Amino acid sequence: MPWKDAMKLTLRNFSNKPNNENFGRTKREQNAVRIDAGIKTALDELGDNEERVAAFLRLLACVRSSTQLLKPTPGKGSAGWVAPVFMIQRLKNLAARQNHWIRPCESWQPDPDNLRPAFRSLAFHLLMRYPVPGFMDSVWDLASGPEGFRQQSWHIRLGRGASFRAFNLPLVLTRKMEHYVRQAPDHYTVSQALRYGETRGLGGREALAREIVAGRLGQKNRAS
Amino acid sequence: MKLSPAASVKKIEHPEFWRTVLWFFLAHPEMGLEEVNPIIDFIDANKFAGEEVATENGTVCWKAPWPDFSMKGRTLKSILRLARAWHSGLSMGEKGRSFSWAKSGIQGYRFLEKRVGEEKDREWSIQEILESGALQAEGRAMLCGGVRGHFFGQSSFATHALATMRNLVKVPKSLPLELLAPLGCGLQTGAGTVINSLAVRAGASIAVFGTGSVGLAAVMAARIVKAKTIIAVDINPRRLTLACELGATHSINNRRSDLAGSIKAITGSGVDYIVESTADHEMEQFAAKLLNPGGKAALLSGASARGGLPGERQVLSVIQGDAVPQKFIPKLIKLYQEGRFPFDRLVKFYDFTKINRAIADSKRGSTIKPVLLISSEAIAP
Repeated sequence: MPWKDAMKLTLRNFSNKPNNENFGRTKREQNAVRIDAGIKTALDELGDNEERVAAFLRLLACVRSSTQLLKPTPGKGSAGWVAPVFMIQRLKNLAARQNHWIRPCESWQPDPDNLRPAFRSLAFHLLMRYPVPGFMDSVWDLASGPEGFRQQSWHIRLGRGASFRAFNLPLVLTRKMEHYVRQAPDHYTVSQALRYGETRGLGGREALAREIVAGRLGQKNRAS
Repeated sequence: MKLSPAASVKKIEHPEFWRTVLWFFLAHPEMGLEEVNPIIDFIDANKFAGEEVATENGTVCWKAPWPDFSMKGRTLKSILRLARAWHSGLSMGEKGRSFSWAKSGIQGYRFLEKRVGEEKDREWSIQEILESGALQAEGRAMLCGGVRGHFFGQSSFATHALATMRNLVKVPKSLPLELLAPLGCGLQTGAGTVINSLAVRAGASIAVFGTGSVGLAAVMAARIVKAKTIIAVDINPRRLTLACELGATHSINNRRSDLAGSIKAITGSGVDYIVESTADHEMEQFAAKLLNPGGKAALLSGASARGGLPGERQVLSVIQGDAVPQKFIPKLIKLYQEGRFPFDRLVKFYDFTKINRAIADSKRGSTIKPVLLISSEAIAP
């Protein structure tokens, strides 16, 4: 796919500055402009690495051809661009790890049009042999950088059968704690899941673990 | 687009120390869950977070007040005492002072609901908080799903709302949520009062005191139930004009004309129903006097109902239009889609940064129902 074709609306000379020149456009058009802006930002972040850019464009084509996830979300009004841009950010991060793909994205069979399950099945298809806890999906939201790279590597290694305890974690996990970390709710971040597993693994009740994660030890992932 | 902040696991600091705290919690299963995070907050603030301290050379540095704090030898009683004292100090504000502010002038609200088979009445109230201690106490009392503080009971001015399952109402996906927002309070109250509480019958006469969103919803509902005479009463000419466009057959500006005389001139006597939404004590008194025999007046300001009026007149105190939101709001939405309840004419959207303008427009009467929108950048999927 040619580079510029990834952004459909640029062909119609729409601006990629999402907050400007919205006058006279429908909400759907405004959303489409913001989605294009998201794609452009992702392409800029991937830079001159041709392999990554090509992988990103392949992912866009696959997701577009088999789902509605990159179109403005119906019924969300002027916020219809949020979910597609969220997906684009994750696709960009998957593309950045294209050298770890074990299957081509073109053979992906998507789940129903629901963002998170669809992304999970795509990530599994591309990278994994074994199931990974749902909360690990959040690592693909992290911005490019050492921390994002590190946690995304954990996701890939877990999908290849590695254990949490093999990673260089700030917490020392026992087998029992790891068992509970894997059972942490899907909406947790990695550090929240670690704290949850630690508490449960020490013998704490589910309610106690959730209370601790809801507080300072879980929020903002800090305790000092 | 800003996505969720980088959740760095590197930030899990002092894991050995915090594990001793977890061990402490596990050793005291009798401790309530509500004590867990206050204790953690106390420890974090005193052992790690620090406070500003002036140095000799005039600069300010951060220093933890109790850096060598440990869990060794602590009893539950002692740690609770320390944590509570620390929190209590916080609630007193900086240097032990509390803060207060002036009244807004908005009237409070208190209603006792009698419950069949229950000794105690259920109390419903809205009180203006006027000092910092009470504000903090309210925040602590508002506990929902482990998260404290949902301002005004509905997470007002927040990008995310805490809601319990019984608070949720299913609405059509095709309609924008921001438009439907006012249905949950004022519009439901006004329409519900006419349809449910007063059960206004076709051909009857009704007067609506106050033409804000509640009063105008009552006017629209009165037209839906085919009341013959619908009298809107207000002191704002713009609102009265809108009331006539929405279904009022007559309007009275009670600053310029005598209310009782005007109503008598229109109906020949009094009215069958009155909806009083102004919270003005004088208007409440008027309501009972202007009713026809057998008529009903609904007070929406929380004032107590009065029985024993001559001629089988009734004065009711109504909350939220006696409506079950899960049933009534979808009904209002259906009426809106049929064009019979055009409440979108009352709604005007403002960016959140224009909140002062929204208040000014509302006071002036140019906007009936301002809805504040927080920009979509703040909304995560």
